[in-house]
Amino acid sequence: MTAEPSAALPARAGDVRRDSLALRMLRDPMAVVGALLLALLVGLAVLGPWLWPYDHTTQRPEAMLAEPSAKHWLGTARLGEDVLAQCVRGLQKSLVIGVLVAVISTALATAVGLAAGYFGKRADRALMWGVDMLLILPSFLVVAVISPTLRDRSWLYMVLVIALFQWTLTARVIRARTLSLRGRQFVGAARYMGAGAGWIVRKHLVPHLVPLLVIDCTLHVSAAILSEAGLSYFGFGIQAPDVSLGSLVADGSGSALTYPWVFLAPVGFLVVTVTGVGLLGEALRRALDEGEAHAV
Amino acid sequence: MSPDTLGAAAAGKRWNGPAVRRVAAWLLRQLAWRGGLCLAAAFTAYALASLSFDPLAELRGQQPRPPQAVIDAQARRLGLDTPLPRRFVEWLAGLPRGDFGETVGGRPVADELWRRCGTSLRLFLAGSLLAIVLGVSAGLWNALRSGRASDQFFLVGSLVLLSVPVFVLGTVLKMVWLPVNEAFGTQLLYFSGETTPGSDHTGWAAAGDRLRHLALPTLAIALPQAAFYSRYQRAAMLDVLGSDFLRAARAKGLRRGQAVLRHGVRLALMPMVALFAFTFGLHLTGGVFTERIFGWSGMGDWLLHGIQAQDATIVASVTLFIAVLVVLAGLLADAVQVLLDPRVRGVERR
Repeated sequence: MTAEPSAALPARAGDVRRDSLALRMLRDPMAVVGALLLALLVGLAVLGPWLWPYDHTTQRPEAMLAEPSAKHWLGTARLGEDVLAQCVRGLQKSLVIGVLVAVISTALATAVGLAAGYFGKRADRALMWGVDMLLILPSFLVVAVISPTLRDRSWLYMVLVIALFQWTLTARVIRARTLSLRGRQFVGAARYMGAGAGWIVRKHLVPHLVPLLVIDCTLHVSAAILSEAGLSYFGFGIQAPDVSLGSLVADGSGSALTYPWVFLAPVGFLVVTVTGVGLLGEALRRALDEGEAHAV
Repeated sequence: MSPDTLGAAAAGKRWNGPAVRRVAAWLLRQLAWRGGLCLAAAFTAYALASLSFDPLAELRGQQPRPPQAVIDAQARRLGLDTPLPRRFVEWLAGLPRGDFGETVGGRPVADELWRRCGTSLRLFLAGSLLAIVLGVSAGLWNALRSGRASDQFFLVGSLVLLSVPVFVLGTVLKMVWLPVNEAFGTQLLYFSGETTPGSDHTGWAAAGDRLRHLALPTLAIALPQAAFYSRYQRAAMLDVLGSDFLRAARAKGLRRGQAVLRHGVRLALMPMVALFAFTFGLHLTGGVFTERIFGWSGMGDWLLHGIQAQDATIVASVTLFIAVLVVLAGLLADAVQVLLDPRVRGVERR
């Protein structure tokens, strides 16, 4: 690898681009706000359990449905659980699920999209038929249907299933991009020089897809957090006694008008998390677009 | 498999016998392919549901426990003793006769199916139409004013709106509207159901009653979708605004507004048609949530009920309904795309 002169050049070019990408992101208020929000939330999710004496299971019957106070910053729920502690527990779940699903589904989409786009013909037909079928099967439906089976198992299975039904749209986009890249001259040149399919895919196609993949990955994080919340809201996701932001919203929505903090606290965490990811993704898209415009 | 023929016909080449036949053949191939997709989707849902549901659990859990013979009879009635593919094929064979099988409770699925279809379609079509109108106009408006404060505001606003799950949005809409209802002293807009139960309105009064029930759930479906469309519409319009042909139109003497309206918008709408088709299924899920929140007994509500009742037949019927809708949306989008853009030629089947 090191002996190749050609390998050094793109690496340096990549460094330059990465530097300016970071700089561009720092100049964008959207990116800064998004990153700060996320840093705050991740910090809270990691450190939260050490900051106060309650966890999501602590029940204090002497303080049921208490208003927010110095002792319970966000009040307490129906059985005297601390709402902040519950939300932090839910937040941990949401963040982990979001990142895991995003990584798995982006990887899956890349593999399928590249295979369909690059190898074409029969593989393409078969893969795209599968993608089309998954596109008309709403993932919520599938996960909800198999939720009785998942009930007694780890929530990691839920992560797998959500990921399994979320990659399809990205795969289509990657396939389309691969199709157009495959016809470009540099790919043809590499092929005439005797490069194998694996080499071309790794060294010539994937680098061009990276901006797209990064942006889609952030979209997948938001989508996964929202689908977990939806599933848990309807009782198909995280099961009691464990809590997630979705199940907390469901518990709170019945008393949204009488005890608003029970409803608004998890909603706030959910919306701020997803907005933070969205802001970061949007800023990333802008910065990468700008970079591409400069590069051409 | 190419929309080539439809494109040629749409471009006004020749609507003679062969052209019509080619279009008909294209339509038939599309229907066959998409019909296959629908059936595959229904089978997947049916198989998953049959494998993970236990429709006898409720019977077994009763106190006192019913005799084994009763449980066996119920299993036989539900066809649990025949292999899964055969059960599915038998269910399929009933479809052309309008027989959609029986629920676990023993009632024909078809009894409720059509009423629920109508309910869902009314809600979802109203929501989607509103979303398209709102999203497209907001996107175009912001593209023409990109970089200004209003554009930034809409951008952040749409991000926040997209971060609010539908089941929260419904509840929040109710919370926001409650003071308005109280201020007027009557139920100006209703929070649940499709009509006022027991009301004997006719004509305009009945239509008004329905509209007042429809307003809030439609908004709950439309707002996130509109936010989604507006962002893509803005990007598509910005792409078009930078293109040479618009500059040519300006050079020819058209004012900016005229040039954009006459030449730009049409082109900027095209990617939206494909986007609409691709994401139609995703947005249907929002409809499922909305029905539950607002107490509409449509297909989404039925799906949740079917899962809770461990009923594979209901799940398969709802899946088929959703699949047919998505596929029809895709077909419609293909046709509209070809009509909008005669350049679309069958290089690649989309």
